[in-house]
Amino acid sequence: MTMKNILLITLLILTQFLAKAQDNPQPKIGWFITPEVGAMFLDGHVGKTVGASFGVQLFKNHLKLGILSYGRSGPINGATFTTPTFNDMVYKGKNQLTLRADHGAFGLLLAPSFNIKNVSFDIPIMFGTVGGGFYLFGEDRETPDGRRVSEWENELMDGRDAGFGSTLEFGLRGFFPTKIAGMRWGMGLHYTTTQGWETFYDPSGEFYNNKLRASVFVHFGSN
Amino acid sequence: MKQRKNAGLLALLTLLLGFNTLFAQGLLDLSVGTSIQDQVFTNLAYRLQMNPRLRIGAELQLAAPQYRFIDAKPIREGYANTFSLPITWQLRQNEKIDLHFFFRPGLRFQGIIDPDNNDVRDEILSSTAIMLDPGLIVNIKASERLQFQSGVSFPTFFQVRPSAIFENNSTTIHANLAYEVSKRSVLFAKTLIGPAVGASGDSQKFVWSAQMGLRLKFGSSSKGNPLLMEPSY
Repeated sequence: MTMKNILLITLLILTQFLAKAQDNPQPKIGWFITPEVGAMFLDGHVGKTVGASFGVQLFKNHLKLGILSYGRSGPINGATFTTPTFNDMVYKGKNQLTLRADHGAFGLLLAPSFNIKNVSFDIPIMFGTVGGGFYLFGEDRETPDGRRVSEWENELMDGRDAGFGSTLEFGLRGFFPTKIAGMRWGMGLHYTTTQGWETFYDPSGEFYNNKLRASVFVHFGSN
Repeated sequence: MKQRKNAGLLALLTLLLGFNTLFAQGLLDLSVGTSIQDQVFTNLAYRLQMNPRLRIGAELQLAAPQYRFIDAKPIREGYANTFSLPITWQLRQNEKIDLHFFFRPGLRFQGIIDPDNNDVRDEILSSTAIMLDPGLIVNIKASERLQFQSGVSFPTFFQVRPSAIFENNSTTIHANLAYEVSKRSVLFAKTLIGPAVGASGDSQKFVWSAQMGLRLKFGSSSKGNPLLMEPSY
């Protein structure tokens, strides 16, 4: 089942829950949407991320259950990485590639929540899929024979220009109140691990594994 | 017998829709913007507030591409037209914050004249794609005349012609603003950004869009929230 189907089904199920709870004057199921931007503290550079989480709040808003999706997109991260080509292949007169990195994480979010005075905290735990790789950019994306860039990237990096794996992430977030009930702003710190993600540039799979991530967000919800 | 039954049902549905439409509030949006994929685009949309919770509409986007894709290869000029049917359904309403479900299915037609760039306009490279754009919108009432929206949506494109390709899926977060200038008009601005993936990495990897426009209100103003702005990309 593809990510898009999972997202659509999750949204449809969520709407059914919330629409039914709307009829109850004191709904037991709350909701949340949390758009975020963040920074991943990777080896040698800090990657910028954009993403969001959304879902329901249960047990008097003490447990968030939903989806978290975010990405460290190549076009907003200028860091480059150099690698020799596979089998010393030549691309546009060179056997060294200069690449950018692109990444996305998507998974189920479970976050127990608690309050200390008027500040809320939660412990976000995300388990899901990570996908990412290294790609040609700029003028290198104009291939010499008109074939698709991905075909060349596959050949130049032995079919391992990108990969998928699983990810487990956990952290701590603080939510600070605003003048508008149901709207908070916050910050979080997360520890990210990946399992089974390997590429030609990074055969060890450590590029995103055991790394810290910080997030800044605006939280909208039923509390 | 079955055909007569189906015709009767269709007639009844048409009557109900027409009756509901008569008493619905109409909203006409006109906006201009730019994005990672278009030098400039214009959106024209007409929406009907059927009841306090349900809004349906039709939207047409005309764009001048600067970085789009046909068969997962970039085009940097040409045309891109998207026709969609946005639906918005209110899920929750608090004092200052509303939650809405949003879904916008559509069709996209884009193309480039003279794709081999030999200055002879004898060839057109074109594509057709299905668009699905589900999402959640949060509306915040800052004051009687000023409201903000945020939320998340997942615009997804499947190219069906000239070949079948899962072209792109984005996770976009949006920030919109609507200000009621008069009883019949609203000024608005919409922005969105987010990571994207598709076509084995050959299509967009990051998307952004920004637009400004004017909304005109027709009909009864007692239903729905005319300052609620749906995202569009």
